[in-house]
Amino acid sequence: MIGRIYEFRDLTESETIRTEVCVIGSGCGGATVAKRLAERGHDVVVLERGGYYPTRSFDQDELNMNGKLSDNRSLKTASDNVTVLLSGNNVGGASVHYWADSYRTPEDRLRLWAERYGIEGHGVADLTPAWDELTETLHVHPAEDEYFNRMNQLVREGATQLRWRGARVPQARHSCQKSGHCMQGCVYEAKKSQLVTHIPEAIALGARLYADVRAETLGLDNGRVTSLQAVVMDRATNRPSLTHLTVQAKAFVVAAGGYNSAAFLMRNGFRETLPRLGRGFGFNPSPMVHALYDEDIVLWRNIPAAYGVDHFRLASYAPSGRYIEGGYLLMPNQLQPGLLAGSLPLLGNEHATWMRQMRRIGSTIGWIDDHPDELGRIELNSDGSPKIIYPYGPTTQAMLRDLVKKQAQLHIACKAREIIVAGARGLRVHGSHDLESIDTLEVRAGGLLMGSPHPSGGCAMGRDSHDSVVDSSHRVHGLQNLFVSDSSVFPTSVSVDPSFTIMGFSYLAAEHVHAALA
Amino acid sequence: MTIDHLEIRGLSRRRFLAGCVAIAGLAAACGRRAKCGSPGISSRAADGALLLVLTEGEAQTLTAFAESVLPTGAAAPSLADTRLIQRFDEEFFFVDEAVRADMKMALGVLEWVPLLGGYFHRFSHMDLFTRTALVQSMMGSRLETSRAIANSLRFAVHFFYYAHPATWAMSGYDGPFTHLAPQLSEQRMHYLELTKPRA
Repeated sequence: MIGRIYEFRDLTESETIRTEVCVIGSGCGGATVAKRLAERGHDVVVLERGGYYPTRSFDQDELNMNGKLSDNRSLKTASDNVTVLLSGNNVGGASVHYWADSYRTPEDRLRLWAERYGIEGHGVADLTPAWDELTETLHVHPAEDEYFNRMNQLVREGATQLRWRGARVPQARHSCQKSGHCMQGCVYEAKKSQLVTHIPEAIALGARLYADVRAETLGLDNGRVTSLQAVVMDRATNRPSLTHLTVQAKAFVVAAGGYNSAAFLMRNGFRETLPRLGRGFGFNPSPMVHALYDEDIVLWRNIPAAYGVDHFRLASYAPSGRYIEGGYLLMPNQLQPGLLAGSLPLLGNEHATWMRQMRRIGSTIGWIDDHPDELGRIELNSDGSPKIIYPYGPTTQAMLRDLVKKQAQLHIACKAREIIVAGARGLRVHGSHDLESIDTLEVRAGGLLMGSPHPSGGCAMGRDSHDSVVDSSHRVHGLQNLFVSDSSVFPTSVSVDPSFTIMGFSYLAAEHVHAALA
Repeated sequence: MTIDHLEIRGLSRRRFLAGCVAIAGLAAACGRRAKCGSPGISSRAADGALLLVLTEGEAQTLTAFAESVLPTGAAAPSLADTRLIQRFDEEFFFVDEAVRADMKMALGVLEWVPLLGGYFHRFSHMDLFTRTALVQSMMGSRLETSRAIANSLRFAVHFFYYAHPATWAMSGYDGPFTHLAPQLSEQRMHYLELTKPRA
């Protein structure tokens, strides 16, 4: 049986769709679980809120592609009104614009999740078969030398000089053309996003994917979900059409991504029985430091992060509990001109002076490992969309300042001519003697200009409905056939880029769904 | 005077925020009335382009803000060269209502906030030098609302301006890697259709 992809233009009349499994979302979680279930012989329907943009529709234009691939066009922010929420809104989800960094979940993190949060069956031994297979099928490998652009070389040189541990970043790509357009979608299909891997594989096995369809209301009967009401979105207007779909299935898997899964369940009224729904939310806030060099850097070509500094991945604390340093990955940055300009906190001709030297601008970025005791939460806006409330607690702020400081140190070691922190004050760092000024930087509301590329939590996995939303079989507490399979089940951040963890967990989720259908 | 001096002049953070909320409420109500009062009729930017989201007042505020944060001089592409106001309008046409409302509130507060600081002009009526100084002080302000408004609007303006091909010669950007022909999405085509000049 061959499946197919349906789009808004195919969906002109309301209808009822019957299937075994309905998956809501088509990113790393949804596409992977759909593929695995299709391999197991199940009839699978995938609903995707965003549009279907095959690679032939990619044009590498920063704004055109941002409009096609990014949820709310990268203009939605957290409650501080400046931290940009980055996620996908298209078939393939955020994997279509991600950097393809593919880290296996660190063992210490899986141990933490087992010991502190009671997660069972998600240890290294459980996940390794999935990762081994994914390594093969997604061509995951450490970046080779030819993929080190000048910024990557500088980060490696600087880290070596500072005696910071780093490593080549595992990449899910094959025959990369070094275009530098990972964030605009890979027109060459070299980057192994879900759009060109698990989705076509699931379709070939008979899965049906409905793009431009927004899941709305779950129908419940005696502890089971029996149906899902959905609305077809008019892609041109990005507004709901008059066409509705009803999906009847034996099992439902929510995989709408870290920003949306909890919100979907909240709109369906589950907060009352699941008090942890929307809680424990992290998003890896990612501050940047830019620098002018006396040589061409050309930040916008080749792959984004061939080399990363993992020396500070785990935060260190004094015996008293006082934060000392670390708790983040530090990476080379890659920005096309629009986002680079947006993150450069200057005005007018001073801003233009930097932009005129864009070829010589280098940049670094890092994502902090959200502190487990200072996580945020998801609420609903009056229009039903998720509202992200993130407290930026004291340790989080200290981590962010430390990360900014380390980035500045690295640029100093690399002999940058001028260094500027991407933050409201436009703080300049001229040498080591200026590093202390970073300690007084504001963080919230643009104090640091940050993106948040890796949402986690909101539907955390755990023991029971008092401490979590799903159990270790990915099943929502209290419901027999409703599962969650994306980064929202993580009880904390992963401490590395999460895509490989999401896919590994989704392999396991698929087995639990399969068992439930038996 | 900087925005933080408001506190020194006896305007507490709480009163500043209360003032902002009142201003924003007024601005949003005016904006809604302007849009809702004329169903099917759009606003126009200063250059005559049709706008679907921004009211004419908001477009004026945004234009004044963009002039304050973008480069000046003959070598710098203009707002018209980069269709910046229209692009801003287009991008916010397709986002969630909550995102659009935040943007409108930011423009509303920005327009009126100078009055809280003792200026006798709304933002769009201030001279360029004073306006730029105010934006600079708002960007680095200790007041989070003030900082958020300036930084979020500046982010969007710089993003849309420097992503436009008209600015690439100035920045030395060599364009998309393969120089593919632009492929407009259904949404882009829809917006262009809605805003195209009609006889």
